[in-house]
Amino acid sequence: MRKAFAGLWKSSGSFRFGIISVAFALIMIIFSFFSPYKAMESFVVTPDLPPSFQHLFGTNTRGQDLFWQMTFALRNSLMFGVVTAILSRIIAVWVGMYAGYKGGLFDKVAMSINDSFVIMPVLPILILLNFLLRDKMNWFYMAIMMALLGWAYDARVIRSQVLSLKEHVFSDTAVFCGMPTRRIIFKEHMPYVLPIIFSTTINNLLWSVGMEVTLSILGLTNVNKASIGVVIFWANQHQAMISGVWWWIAAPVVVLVFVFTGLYLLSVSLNEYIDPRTRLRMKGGVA
Amino acid sequence: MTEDIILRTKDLRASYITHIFGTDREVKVVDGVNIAIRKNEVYGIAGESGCGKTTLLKLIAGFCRPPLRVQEGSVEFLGDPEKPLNLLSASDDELYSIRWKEISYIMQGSMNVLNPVRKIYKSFVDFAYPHMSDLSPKEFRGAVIEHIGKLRLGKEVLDSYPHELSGGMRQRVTIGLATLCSPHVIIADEPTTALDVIVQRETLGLMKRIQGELGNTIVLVTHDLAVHANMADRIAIMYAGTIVEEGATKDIFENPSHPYTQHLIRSLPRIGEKDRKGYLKGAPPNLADPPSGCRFHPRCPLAQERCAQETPQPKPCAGGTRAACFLAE
Repeated sequence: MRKAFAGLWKSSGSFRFGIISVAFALIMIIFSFFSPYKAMESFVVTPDLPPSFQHLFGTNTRGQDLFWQMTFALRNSLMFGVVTAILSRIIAVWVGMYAGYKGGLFDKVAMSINDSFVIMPVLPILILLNFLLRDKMNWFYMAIMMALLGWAYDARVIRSQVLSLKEHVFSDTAVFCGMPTRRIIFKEHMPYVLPIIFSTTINNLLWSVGMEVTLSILGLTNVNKASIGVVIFWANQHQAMISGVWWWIAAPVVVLVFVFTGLYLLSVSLNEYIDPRTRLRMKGGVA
Repeated sequence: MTEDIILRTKDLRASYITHIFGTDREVKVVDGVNIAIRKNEVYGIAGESGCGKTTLLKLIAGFCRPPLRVQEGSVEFLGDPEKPLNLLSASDDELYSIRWKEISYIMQGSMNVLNPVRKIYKSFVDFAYPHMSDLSPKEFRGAVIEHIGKLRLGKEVLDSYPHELSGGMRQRVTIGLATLCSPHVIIADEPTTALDVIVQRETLGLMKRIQGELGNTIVLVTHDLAVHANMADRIAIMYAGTIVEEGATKDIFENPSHPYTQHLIRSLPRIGEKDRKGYLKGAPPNLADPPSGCRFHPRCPLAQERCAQETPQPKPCAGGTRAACFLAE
């Protein structure tokens, strides 16, 4: 593990950038537990101060320190993204692997449901649902909703891999030996599909955080709970750009772009490493 | 002789049936095959590509999955002579109880039997351990190490990935995997096709040695007649889904009675011969639309009118073999 880390650090620039930005995000998240101010408490510092050593990201018109507010915002947004990604992975992996392996009627039914989800326009649906369920909506319900809307494309990708895997001789031999389907899927096929699962997880995480930002900017989520989108929402409410408080917008946007790019690069570099075929190549084999 | 028989098929007829957008297509791959495989013998099945060898093996192994469908006949496994088990109608539990333990199957492309991203030992655990579950995991590992030791493989092989082994070693691992539970019948589909002649010789020698030690039966499919000449006790020659001739290896090579077998044997190069080899015109028939009567008649130089109308049944011939031909004596 340590050797792998050192090797990746040395050979892959995207891994270095990814690790640094993820470390930065983690530090921010840890800081949120030591914040001197509550997340949405207003008029605790002098308003409208530009970034300085005193206030790293500056302060806003509502008298909040943007650095400390961003620590909460990042924590909530990433938490939401991770939960969504995990929930949607459960559906995507299960449906993709079973549909690909079993084929037949199960595959047909699962894929017609799947295709319906693929073509659904997600954003209008989310806007509508958030609008209708505004009072009952909290971040966890929203994560479930996003997971239900976000699994379909990845399930198809996973299925396509399994379709080819099940034609391999080792799959036939496993069936002949009487290996149960669940074991064939999770022991024999899973190692092949793992890189795809991993990269789709990161993709899904980024997608759901992005969606959350979109909905928050539109004011459709709980705007009294800090998240990256909510910070931008309040900046817009106070017309930060017009009154010259550019750092109010800049802080969430820069943090978001930085963390997104980092996660993406980390997933790309790790993905190459996780892929069993790469490890085979490292040992000098071909597969 | 019947008490010696371990596997036998009766009038086996099977086809690949597909429905694509309302078009049904039936490919009659195995058509009326009767074979009886004895205990403690190497039974070879030879024939050109696409004649149904692999399909026949799948059926013998009781491994029939759509689109392959059995239309008629049975495959009986007589591990217990009192209670023949029809592999084609047996329940999943019955099949599970004999697979790998009684009948193991080395599939075509046997180098790929091992999952490239799992270590060799994991493959042993996945495929064989459920059938030897009376052993503790530790005892099982011991048994595996001892068994592959007989195949001249060290225990470090178990913790390698398949690609770290040479082709010959992988082949030996596959044979080890198939023989670990000392099955009565080992079904091997082209086990040596991808190997060079030296490794091939070694692998075959190993199979023969194991067969001698365990006293089990090997059903060997290959289109390489030289392999058959070395390995098999009896050979069946397949043509277009039917067995055209069957007999002891020596008789097949020396006194073939069926015209197809005669041409097949005559096409083999022999040391010292200088003349050009003759060959049969035409190609094997399309099995979706096989010829009437004897399936060989369109290519047979001796074909008569009768051959196109009636299907010949196998009968004993003077050469010691059984041939399905009207002209064979």
